[in-house]
Amino acid sequence: MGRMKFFKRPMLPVLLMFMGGLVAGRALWPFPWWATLLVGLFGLIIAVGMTIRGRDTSALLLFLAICMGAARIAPLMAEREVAENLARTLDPVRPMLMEGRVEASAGEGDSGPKSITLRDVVVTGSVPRRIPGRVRLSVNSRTTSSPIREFYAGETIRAFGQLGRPQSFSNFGTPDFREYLAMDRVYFTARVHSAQLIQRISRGLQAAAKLYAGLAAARQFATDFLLGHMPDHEGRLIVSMFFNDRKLLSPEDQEVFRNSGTMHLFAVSGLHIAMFAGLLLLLLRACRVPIRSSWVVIVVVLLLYVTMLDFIPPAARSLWMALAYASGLWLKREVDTISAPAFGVFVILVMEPLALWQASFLLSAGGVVGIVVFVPLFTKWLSPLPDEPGFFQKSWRWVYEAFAVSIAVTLVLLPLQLLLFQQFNVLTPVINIFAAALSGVALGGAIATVAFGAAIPILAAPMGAATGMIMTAIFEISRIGSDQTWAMVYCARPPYWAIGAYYLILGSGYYMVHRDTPEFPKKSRARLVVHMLAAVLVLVVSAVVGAMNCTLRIYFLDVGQGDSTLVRFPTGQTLLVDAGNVLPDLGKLVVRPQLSALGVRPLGQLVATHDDADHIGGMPTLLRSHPVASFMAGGKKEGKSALLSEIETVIAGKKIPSSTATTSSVVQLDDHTTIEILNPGWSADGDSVRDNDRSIVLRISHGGFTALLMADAERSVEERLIREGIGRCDVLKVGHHGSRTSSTERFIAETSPTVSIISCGYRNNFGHPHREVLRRLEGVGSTVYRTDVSGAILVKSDGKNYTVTTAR
Amino acid sequence: MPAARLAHWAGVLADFVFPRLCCGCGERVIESGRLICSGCEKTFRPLLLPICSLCGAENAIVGPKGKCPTCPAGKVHFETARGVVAFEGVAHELVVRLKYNRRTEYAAEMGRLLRANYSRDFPGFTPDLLIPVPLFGARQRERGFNQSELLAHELAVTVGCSVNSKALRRIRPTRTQTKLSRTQRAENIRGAFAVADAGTVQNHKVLLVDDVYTTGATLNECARMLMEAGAESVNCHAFARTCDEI
Repeated sequence: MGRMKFFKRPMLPVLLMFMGGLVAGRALWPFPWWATLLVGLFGLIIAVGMTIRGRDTSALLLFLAICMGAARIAPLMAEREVAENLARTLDPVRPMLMEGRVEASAGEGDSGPKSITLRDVVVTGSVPRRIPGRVRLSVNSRTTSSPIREFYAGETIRAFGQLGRPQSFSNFGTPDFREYLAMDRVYFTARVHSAQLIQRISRGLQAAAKLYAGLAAARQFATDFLLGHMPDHEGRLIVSMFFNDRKLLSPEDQEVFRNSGTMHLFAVSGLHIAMFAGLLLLLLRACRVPIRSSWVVIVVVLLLYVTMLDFIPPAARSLWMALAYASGLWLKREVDTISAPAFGVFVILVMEPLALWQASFLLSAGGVVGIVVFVPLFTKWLSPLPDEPGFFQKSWRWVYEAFAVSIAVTLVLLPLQLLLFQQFNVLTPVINIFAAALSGVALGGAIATVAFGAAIPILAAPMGAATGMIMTAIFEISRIGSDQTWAMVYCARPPYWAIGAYYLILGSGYYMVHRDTPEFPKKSRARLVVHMLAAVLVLVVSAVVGAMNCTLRIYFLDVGQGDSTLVRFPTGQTLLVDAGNVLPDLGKLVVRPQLSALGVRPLGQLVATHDDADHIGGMPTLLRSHPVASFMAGGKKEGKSALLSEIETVIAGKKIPSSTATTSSVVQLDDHTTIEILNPGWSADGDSVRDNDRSIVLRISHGGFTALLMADAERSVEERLIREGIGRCDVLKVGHHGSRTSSTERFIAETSPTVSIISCGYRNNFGHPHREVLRRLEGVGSTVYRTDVSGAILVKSDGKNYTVTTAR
Repeated sequence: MPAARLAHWAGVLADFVFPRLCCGCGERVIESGRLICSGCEKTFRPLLLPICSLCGAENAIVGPKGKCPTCPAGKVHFETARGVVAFEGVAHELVVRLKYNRRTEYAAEMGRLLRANYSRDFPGFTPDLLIPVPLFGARQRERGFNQSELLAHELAVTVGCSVNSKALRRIRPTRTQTKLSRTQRAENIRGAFAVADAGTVQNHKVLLVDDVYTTGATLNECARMLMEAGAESVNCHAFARTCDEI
């Protein structure tokens, strides 16, 4: 507003300040946010006054933007606080009757049953209580994912089920599910035992209900039509691409697309919306519809499409971006590449400020920044086209520009990619040029197949086949990319300083080159390349520094009620003892992401201490999806559990060398470091030994430091160890999650650990750790760390001293 | 609050998100609703006198038969042609952005100049019909609009007659004129136009509208077709005027 003399395009600085306000508001909470609001209002009045008098309001507006950011995030922080307090008083086990309004009909998690998102939920009872934020409701099914009947946004439903907080696993640098949901304003999850326990009370707006039902029917029709008129595999791929339904992808498909860096084609976001808008624009242009009217049509169609996808956040955000662009056109203003995206992002952040902490938003926004900043620069390096370019010049230009987009996006997203996924295919930019371009054709082909095929049935089969061929091409290109194992780069999660340095170097390179633009001397090209290489080098150096760590590190992972301990030896070897429970699948939720985040790839040795589900439950997934060099299990009893047989099948399939610990033994890793198997978990006298006493007990020593991992071993094993002269240890992983069946008074006294670690779930059903055990540990003056309280625990030792760090 | 006030404040808000940056200097434009700042507006160069009474060329030395050296060779089918400003600097930028960056809002700025100079260029003349120089169908689809048509609409209210953009059609695509010499241009454009329906132009005083007048080959060819279809007279009005073969 007013005369902003400082800035040509005020939206960008205002957006940056607004983001700053959001970050500061979240960091500084609790702060008197009403004061911020008052200051903001006061400032606004002054700004209006200054505008009327024709004064420069730049500085004031920037200040206002910060206030706005802080005031915008404050209610959300307050809401979360209310939720935390409420969580302490709610009983997570007792089923309750609740009512709420459906917000999205079938939002889906990556795995597990379909769920619906509710808002304005009230727990009815003697004292009705409002649940803050959103509630994710799902059917509690142990075996298969059972879909909930279709409910549409706006309907009010009643459900009878348990209301609790999402499970939280705090580990080192891996996303916490509870935190992830909280960024979506989901603070509670509700589970019902069967879909019959959900009832519709009212339908909400009649027109909306009809619209949703119509769109759902259209979606169903399109899905069935495509699946019916296309080859099976391609049909599933195209439907998945069109409707953001990842469940249609087989695990092998997902592997291919993930490894080749084309998975984003199956998540509807900016790329899809842009391609749809482009296709529509071409069509409308061909019909001679004026530009501004075309955009009215485009926005309406996109709105319907996004509604069909249940307003999943990435698609909705792209819609706001499209709207921002169109509004510039409608206002007959210059829609430049800075103002329009900045306005779009601003609108998104005003509507959902927490998006700033969501990976999908950061990836999309980063992509846009990359395209806006670097593509014009790259294309400037190209000599201008002749007035009447030939076919060769045109196509060369097209390929170059596509490559420039691909490189620009990759360049900006590289650190984020490593931060979130810890893997990167060097060929990604090349694969994406073809795959992304073809996906536009495939989507257009899918629309055409459904539209023309339904009208003229004879066209359905050939058009479906043609679209299928394009889809096959996308798949094959991705498969070729993912087959190039040499191109895959795996590394640990880069530290924040490295990411900061990366963007700083890249930004400074851009700044220096950008200043040269009017003449644009040749050396700017070299300068930018040097900066790019330096930025990448920072990431490499940070990875090398991380890998050169010469300490013993023991991570006691937070896997809820269960066990999982990762040991990284100074010599570089790695050992994972157990992998958590199977429901939910901790191998997928915690262990594998944690191994990737720490850069443990391949995992040197996997040890299954005994075959309880809370110890080996995560192993099948882990073995399937993460390279493991060797596997060791304790002694087996006659009737193997289903889990153990599954693990053996996977091991046999992957040809992983496997062994059984039958005798106590010592593995000498180097002069200072040893692993001792104290209890092999196998005994000749067969079934007389209790299951838990079959646990493999390990002692890890590094110089003067010793750690004892007791698994679930109980009294008899402890007594035997005492007889064999166990001696004291520095760190004890307390046996059997702190149950009173283990950790006898004598054993604790004998080992007298300085630090004891108890791995157990928050409010677990067994009451672990038992009070007696805690008292015994206190008796010897041991410091107790619990994973249910502190999250994951890291013990670091250089052979003399050791330090303990916790994740929470 | 009156509607005008509301519109003003809506404009102020819109300026905040999508600022109006001057076409010439790139700085923010303070004058509301304008796309060229007052400073850059002064840099439009009027054509130098004397002006050829036939083709409107600046610095013209009118020879025998009332033609200057830059008038179209051979028979001239239009009565007079006039350009408003010299095709250089900001005027050049305006045309480029309008045509190639699809910034249709610049038509308003150009229209403003056309209107302001109409009474100077065509004193006392009131046409019956405004006809924009047409684009070939594919070209128009590619661009999404016809810049001459936009200019014609800008002029229509002041002149007080209607625009007929369908009267004249371009019936074959032509190579772009920019790289061609004077004679090649005339050759290139020959037979590119046709009158769709002679009835619409018969006995009408036609004003042809174009964005830039260079050699007059295009306008002369249009005028020829119109006159053959029975138009009473044809005059040409262009936003910019140049004699250099660009």
